[in-house]
Amino acid sequence: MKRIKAKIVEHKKLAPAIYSIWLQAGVIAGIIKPGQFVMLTLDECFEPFLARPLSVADTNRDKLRLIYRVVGKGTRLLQDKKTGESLYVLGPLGKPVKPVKNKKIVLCAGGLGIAPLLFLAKKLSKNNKLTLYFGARTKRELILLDEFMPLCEKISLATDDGSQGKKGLVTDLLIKQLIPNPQPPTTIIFAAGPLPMLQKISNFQFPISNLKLFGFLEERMGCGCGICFGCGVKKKDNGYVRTCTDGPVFDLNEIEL
Amino acid sequence: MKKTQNIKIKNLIFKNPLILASGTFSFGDKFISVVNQMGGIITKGITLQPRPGNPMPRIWETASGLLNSVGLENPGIDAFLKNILPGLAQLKTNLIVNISGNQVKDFTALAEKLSDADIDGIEINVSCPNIRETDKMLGQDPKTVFQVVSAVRRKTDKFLITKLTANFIDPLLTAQAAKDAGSDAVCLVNTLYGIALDSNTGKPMLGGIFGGLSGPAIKPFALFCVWRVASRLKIPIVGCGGICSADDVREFLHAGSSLVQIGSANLRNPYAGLEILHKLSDKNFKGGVK
Ligand SMILES: Cc1cc2nc3c(=O)[nH]c(=O)nc-3n(C[C@H](O)[C@H](O)[C@H](O)COP(=O)(O)OP(=O)(O)OC[C@H]3O[C@@H](n4cnc5c(N)ncnc54)[C@H](O)[C@@H]3O)c2cc1C
Ligand SMILES: Cc1cc2nc3c(=O)[nH]c(=O)nc-3n(C[C@H](O)[C@H](O)[C@H](O)COP(=O)(O)O)c2cc1C
Repeated sequence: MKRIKAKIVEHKKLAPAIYSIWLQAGVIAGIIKPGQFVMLTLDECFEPFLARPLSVADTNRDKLRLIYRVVGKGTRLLQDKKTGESLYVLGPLGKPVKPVKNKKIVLCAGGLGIAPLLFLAKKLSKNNKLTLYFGARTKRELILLDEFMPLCEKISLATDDGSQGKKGLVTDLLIKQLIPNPQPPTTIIFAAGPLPMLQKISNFQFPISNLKLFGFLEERMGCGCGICFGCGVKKKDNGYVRTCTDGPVFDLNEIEL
Repeated sequence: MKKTQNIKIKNLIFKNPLILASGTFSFGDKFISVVNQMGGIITKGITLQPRPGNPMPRIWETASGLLNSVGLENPGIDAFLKNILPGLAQLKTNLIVNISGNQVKDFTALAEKLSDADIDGIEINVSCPNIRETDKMLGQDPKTVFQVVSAVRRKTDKFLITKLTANFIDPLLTAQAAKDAGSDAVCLVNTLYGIALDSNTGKPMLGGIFGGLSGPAIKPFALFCVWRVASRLKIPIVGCGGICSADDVREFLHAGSSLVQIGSANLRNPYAGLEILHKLSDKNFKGGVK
């Protein structure tokens, strides 16, 4: 794990309030894996006080890509950063997703959950068959589709307002489409998005034998690196595990959402 | 970097005045290269029985700081001694174990179990806002502080820091009690009580409803507490509260601290301790008890 000052090499708007940022992040970019994340701090001023967790959306040698939605103080400040300016990056953080081969991979993204799934899709598409279910508020927020196109066999879309794809929740789409055609031996669902989406997927009894279900959690974090014990997730048996060091990707059968 | 001056309190030597504060650096088992360069590390609070900790969210950021209600999540003293402590044997700095409890006899038992352990000291936490089994903090009553510290002192001759609160109590009174009971130093201060509410619904933002406020927001208050006790009582003081820079450290040393603890700053940047150390140099502070 390292903390480095990283220069912004590209910063662009993908949709209203949604940005993609490429950072010159040396060693971190070189070793970070799908499922992992970084903590960002903007400058030496202590406001906001804590660093902000963001998932890795892609890498290219020594460059790291993050995709974020502007929701508050920190992301608003980030939005104002220009190419050539720097910020601090702590990473890689969290546990990588274990690589798999010859599986039926189902990616289910809600909103900005699409960001970590892009990096994962790039890694898994070589040895697996991928399907993407992607839901967003509206057509304009169905970002990154051109990048997923070459990686996935099938893409199903949903929007809240029906401006593209099916009108409604992506989870309904997923549940409907996965039932009638049970998949070959192992299906792995990777779900990333808002908590209600993960809860719905976690609670649904998919009639598929040999199904694995992983969720990308976004619990509020203090440190992001295992020292403050702030981001617990309740285990089904007992006690807590930490989102930052035991996750943020969890087997949804093992935790309580 | 110039070498910082050793600070000796009782029989313990600190190679610099910087200590990583309890609850903000795990048990000393992470970022070992940072830990080893500090004057000391204080473990997450340890209790007699394991504690799962409070429901989420446990951290709520506030203006220049944060509220936490982690709730003393820890595996309990026996598991700590068996599973965690052996891994800390190689640390090249003072290892101080922070202990917490609801009543005097918890501290007696904890001190007994730690008396033969390979550690450099004990920090007695009578100031945790996240112990909910009792209505009051033990550290809000000088008599109770005296009883707790005496109980620990009877069981061990290890270096003792008593970590005090200033929540609705003058820390001068409890510092005096800690001193009378044989504490080698006092730490000023633990977090201040705080609560955050959803402005629409009035719902508390922390799973534990209220918590402890820390970070730059409490620095002036913590500095005042150090100054108040230092100017009236002769006991080594470990200053704590909102320290984020070498200048903050210097202020606490000027106010009368012998040592300082870095807490919330580690959450923002786990290398904060190291960065502060690099900016401190011999001429800027005097070690030793003033
Ligand atoms: C492991 C991890 C990976 C993440 N990856 C991404 C990513 O790739 N892209 C992205 O856009 N976001 C991601 N997030 C969420 C992102 O960290 C938050 O949106 C960001 O911290 C908000 O900071 P802010 O200062 O702008 O908002 P704040 O001012 O802190 O908060 C603004 C609003 O957002 C809510 N909020 C903030 N953080 C969280 C949280 N963790 N959970 C629920 N609600 C929250 C607050 O309650 C508030 O209503 C991730 C979070 C985690 C834990
Ligand atoms: C997340 C968190 C957990 C903490 N846990 C403990 C603890 O277990 N025991 C303890 O004595 N103090 C605990 N503290 C208090 C700190 O050690 C320190 O006294 C306090 O945060 C003030 O210093 P700071 O402003 O530098 O953080 C905790 C603080 C934070 C932020």
